[in-house]
Amino acid sequence: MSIVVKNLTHIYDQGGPFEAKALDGVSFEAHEPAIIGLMGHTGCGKSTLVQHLNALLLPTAGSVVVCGIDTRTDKSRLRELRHRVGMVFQYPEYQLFEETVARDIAFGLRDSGLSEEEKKKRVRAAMEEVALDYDTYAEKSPFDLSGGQKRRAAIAGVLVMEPEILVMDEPAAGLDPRGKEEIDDIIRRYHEKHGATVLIVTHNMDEAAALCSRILVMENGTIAADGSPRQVFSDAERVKAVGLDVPYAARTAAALISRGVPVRPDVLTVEELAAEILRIKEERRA
Amino acid sequence: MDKSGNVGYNKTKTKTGEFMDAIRIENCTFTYEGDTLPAVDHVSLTVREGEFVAILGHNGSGKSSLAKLMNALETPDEGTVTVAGMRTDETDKLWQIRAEAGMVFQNPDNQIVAAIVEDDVAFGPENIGVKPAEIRRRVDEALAAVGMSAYAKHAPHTLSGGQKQRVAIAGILALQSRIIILDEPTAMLDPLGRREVLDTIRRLNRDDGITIVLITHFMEEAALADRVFVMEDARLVAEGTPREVFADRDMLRRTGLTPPNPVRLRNCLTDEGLALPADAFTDEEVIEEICRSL
Repeated sequence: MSIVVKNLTHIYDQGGPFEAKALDGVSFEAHEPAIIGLMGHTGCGKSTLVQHLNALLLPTAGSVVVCGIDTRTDKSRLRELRHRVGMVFQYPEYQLFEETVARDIAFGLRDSGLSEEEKKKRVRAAMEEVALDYDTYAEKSPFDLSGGQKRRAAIAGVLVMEPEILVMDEPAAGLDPRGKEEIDDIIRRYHEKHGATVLIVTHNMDEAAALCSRILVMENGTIAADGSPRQVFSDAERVKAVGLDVPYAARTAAALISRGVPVRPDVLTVEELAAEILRIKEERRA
Repeated sequence: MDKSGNVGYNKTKTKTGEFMDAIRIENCTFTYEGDTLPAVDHVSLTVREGEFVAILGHNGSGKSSLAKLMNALETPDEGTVTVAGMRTDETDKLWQIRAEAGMVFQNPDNQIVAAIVEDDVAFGPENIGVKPAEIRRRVDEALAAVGMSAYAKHAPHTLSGGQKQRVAIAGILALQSRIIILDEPTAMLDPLGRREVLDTIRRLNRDDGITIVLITHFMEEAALADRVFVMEDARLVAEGTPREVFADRDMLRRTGLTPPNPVRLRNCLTDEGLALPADAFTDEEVIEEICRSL
C-alpha cells in the first residue's frame, strides 16, 4: 500500500483543438495508512489526479506508482491495480442496477473465483461496514432504499473488493447531516479496520479538518499546499488565495486573536476552540 | 394573465392594496399513492409576500413534499394550499400557480432544456405565448438579475453548477414569478457555486421583493432567512426566526439537527460554565460576547 506520484503532467486532447493541461508537475507520496483530504475548487485538477491512481487515466509525462504498480509500464497488472484501488465516484448510487442489494454489492466479485459461500460472507461483511443490516436489506431492490442507504449500498459494492486504497470523490455530497455523519463513520471504520489509505475529495472544510490527518490542496493543476489540517488551515491567507474557505474554528480563532484574545491559531473544531477560550478564562481568573 | 402575457403582480394584493400571503398551507395532509404513512401530516404554515423562509429537516421528513404542494405538483388529501390567492386544487389555475411560484431543483443538469442559455430562459415565456419582443426584454432582464448576461449565448453544459442554477432561476424570473421555491439548490455545488446561488436569491429577495422558500440542509443558509420551519416525520415541529429556532436546543437534539457554528460554539462554552447570552447568534455577536465575558 503506497502511492508515489512523480512530476505528473496530464494534458487532455494533446495536439487537438481542445488541448488543456489539467495537471502540471504534480508530486506527492503516501506510504503510511491515512485519511487524506484532497481539496481545491472546481477545475483545479482533483478529479484528473484521482483517475490516475487506478489507471483510468495515464500520465502524459511523469509517473504514477501505486501498490508498486507503475501505471505506464506495468500494463499487465492494471487489472490487479483496479482491484487494489477502490474508486467511489460522485453520486455512486446512480450506478446501482441489480435486482437486489446483495447482488449489486457482489457484482465486483463475479470473476473473483470465490465460492458462492465466500462471496456471501464478503457481501455480509461489506454491508456491515456501511451499517446496512444484511437480513433486512440484502434481498431488497436497491431502488427501495432511501437516498442515504443507496449511497451506502453503492459504497459497499466497492468495499466488498477490500481495496487497500480507497478513493472517494465527494462521498457525502447532497446527503443530509445525518447521512454525512454516517459516511464519515464508514470512512474512519474502514481505514482503521483494514489499515487502508482513504483519499477523499471534499469541499467541506469542517469535515476535512475533523476527518483527515493530511490535506492536499490543489490549484491550477499543481499542489498548492500539503500538510496536516493544522498546518494547512492555520495559513488562512494561502487557503483563501486558492479559493477555499478556512474552517469556522480557525476563522473565529483569528478574529479572537485580533481582538486580543490569545487563543491558539491552529484550532480545527468548535470543541477545540471552546477549550482554548476556557483555558484563557481560567488564566485570567488566576 | 393579461393580454401582454403579464402574470399580474397585483393579484397578491387585496383590493385595499395590502399584501396578501404568498403561500398559505392550512391543515394539510398528503400521502403518496401506495404509501401508508403520510408525507405531510396536518401541517399549517404561512409564507408572507416578500419573505425569505427556510425549511429544514432530514431526508424523508416531508420538506420536499411540502415544496411540491406549494406549486401544485401535488395536491393535499386534506386541507388547502393557497398560492398568491389561488387554491391549488382548482385545476384551471394550475398554470397560473406555476407561473406565480417557480421551482428550482437540486440537480442543475436536470432542469435545463435548451442548447443555448438565453433559449433556456426564454422557454417558459415562449410556452405561454408571450410576444417575441417582450420575451427578449424579459430574458435580458432575467439574465441580468442573476448576473449571467455575459453567458447569454453560451452552451449550458459549459457552465459551472452554480451558473446553471442561476440560469434556472432566470427561467423563473422570465415568467415573472413572484415566488421561488428552491429544493436544496446548493446540495450539488462547490463552495463558490453555493455562494453565487445564495447571493443571487438574497439579492432577489431584498431588492425585488421576490418571495423565497429555501429547502436546505445547510444551517448557515437557513440562518440567513427571515423565518425557519423545521419538519420532522411529516410534521411541522418548529417555526420562528433563525435566532429563536436555533436557540431551542431540546428541539434540535430531538430532530438531530446541528445548529450553525457560532451557536455550537456558544452552546459548548455555556455547557462548560462560560454562559453567553442565548441570543448571540451571528459570528460577530458570538465573538463580541466571548470578548466581553473574558
